[in-house]
Amino acid sequence: MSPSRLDGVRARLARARTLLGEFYTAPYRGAVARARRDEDDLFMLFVFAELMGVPNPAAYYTLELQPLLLERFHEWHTRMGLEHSPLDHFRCC
Amino acid sequence: MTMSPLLAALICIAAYVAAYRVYARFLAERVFAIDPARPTPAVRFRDEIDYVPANRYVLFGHQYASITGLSPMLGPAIAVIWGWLPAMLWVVLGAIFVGAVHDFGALVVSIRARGMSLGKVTENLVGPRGKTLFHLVIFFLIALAMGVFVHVIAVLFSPDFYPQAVLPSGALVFVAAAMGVAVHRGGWSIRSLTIAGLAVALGLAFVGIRQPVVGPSLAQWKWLLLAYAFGASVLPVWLLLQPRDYINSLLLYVGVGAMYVGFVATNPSFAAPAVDLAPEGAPPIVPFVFVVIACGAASGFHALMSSGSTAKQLATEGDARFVGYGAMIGESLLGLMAVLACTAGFVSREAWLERYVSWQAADSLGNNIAAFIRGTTHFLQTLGIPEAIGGTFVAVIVVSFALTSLDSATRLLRYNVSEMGDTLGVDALSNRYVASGIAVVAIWAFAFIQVDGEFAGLILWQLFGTTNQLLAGLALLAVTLYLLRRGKPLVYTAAPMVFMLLSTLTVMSANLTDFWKAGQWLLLAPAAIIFTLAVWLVIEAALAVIRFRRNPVLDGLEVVFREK
Repeated sequence: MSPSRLDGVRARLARARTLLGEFYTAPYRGAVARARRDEDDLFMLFVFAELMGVPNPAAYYTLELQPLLLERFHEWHTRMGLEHSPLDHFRCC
Repeated sequence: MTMSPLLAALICIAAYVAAYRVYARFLAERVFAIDPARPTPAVRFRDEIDYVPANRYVLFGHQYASITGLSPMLGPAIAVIWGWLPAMLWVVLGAIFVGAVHDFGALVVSIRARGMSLGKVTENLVGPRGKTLFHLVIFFLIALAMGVFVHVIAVLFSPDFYPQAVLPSGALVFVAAAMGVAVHRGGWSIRSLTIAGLAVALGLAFVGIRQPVVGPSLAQWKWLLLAYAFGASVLPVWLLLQPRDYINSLLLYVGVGAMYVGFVATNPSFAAPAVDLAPEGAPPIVPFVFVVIACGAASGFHALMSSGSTAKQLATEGDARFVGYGAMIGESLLGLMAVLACTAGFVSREAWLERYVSWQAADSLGNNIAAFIRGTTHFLQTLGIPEAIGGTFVAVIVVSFALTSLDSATRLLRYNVSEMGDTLGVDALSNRYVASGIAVVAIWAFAFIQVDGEFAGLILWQLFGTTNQLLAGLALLAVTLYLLRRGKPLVYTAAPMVFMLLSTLTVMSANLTDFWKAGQWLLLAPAAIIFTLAVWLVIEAALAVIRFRRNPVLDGLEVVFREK
């Protein structure tokens, strides 16, 4: 088999694999993404609990995570139904 | 003149191809004004969660697998009592002119309505009171269907039918869960898992034959199935539903493909007569044949169940014909196979007559499924697959269909309960365990409660068929109203709508009269509610037409939602 033909077969196989993967994920993409988001929301609450006056024994450890999650903070608090940042000393928008 | 089943099947398939190429294209261009350049919801609202443009073949596969359940095999297996010709004609012509038009139309209206399913669009039209009533009816019907499925699976597992299917069917649940974990947590390649999964599924059929499971009674099987439904409804989707659906669709393709290859190789002759207008104890063929064969020819549930997620992922409007119209033709192919299996899959005319001696003999769900399995096994035998293995394999596919419907429907019921809880302001109902519990209790009622020595679900089964067809009529009504307000030709959706509404309302009023005469109040009440709801919706639609005639202002192609 010539190299160009082999490449063609390879490309086709790769495409078949992507399609199969899509076929597996597409129907439940929404449901899985939503479930993951719910988990993440809970995690956000853990990380920012102390800031909102909810005592959290793990606050010392989660403090480190705050800068990492800051980018998603706005999205999170709006989803939780709070138009602005709920914290006086922690401005968001 | 005797017609060979092979020739008949070829004519039908030619009709499907011609319909897809000519009629569906005409509908796309002239009626639904499909424009591949118009952005679909998947493009406009892309959020990587619900709205994601997907490949058309992926969507076709998903749509096909989600509309095809047990029902395309059930209906034809009863209806062939009138001979093979009427059943075949209705399966093919019904799909071409009613069912596929219905699915296509529902999908088009969906993509013009921000990807909402046709059910949601209609809810928006009828207001909150109608919406709750509508939800109640849907809840009732899905619970009814699932109660019947639980019963049918339990019957199939019983020693008289296919106890050898128990082990493979049960094991497939665990294979699926293992696959779910491997993909979701382990990030394994789906391709290698697929090959392994299918190999295990086939291998299990061999193990099942050696190890038939005969212990549990009918009631015990039902309890186990209910427990399974509850578990499947509360577990995360990636663990069970997703891999199960996936394996199941692959089994469906392999199964249907093998059946057709076997059929062609067998080249059988019809054991059934072409037409028998008055079999013993049967109701009149018109309009009953149109209700007995629901899925496979036309089904209203498609508009409610499948259009939502498909419409949100369609990459261009141009794909709608392939996914909407094409998938229904695919389902109809399975309906056609059921007709062939139950008429040409018998060894002789005598064997067929023995099975279809009277309506009472034909009208039992367990026997119907068994007739389908036996017929297709007969075709597979020609391919060199021994009867025991072929039978087990088909039985496993059938059970796996029913189980997949059961687990996704229980989850659907759970969401339904939560939504009703939202409307009524009862927070407890949004708890997944409470909502799943209610769903399972409803299914239990139809699978266990007996009226006059017969299970409630089985008595009401015909109601499911009629309502399914009624929903198809109502969905076509919604599509027709959509077209009316856009100045498009109406006859292609209006004619099948009138046909579906007339035939189902006739059957329903016949049923109502029967229930009334026999004093079966338990059956009369739900049937009457559904009948009234249908008539009410038809009146609402008529009012909408009158309003439009008085003030004929055309809308744009997009559906505008009424604000709360």
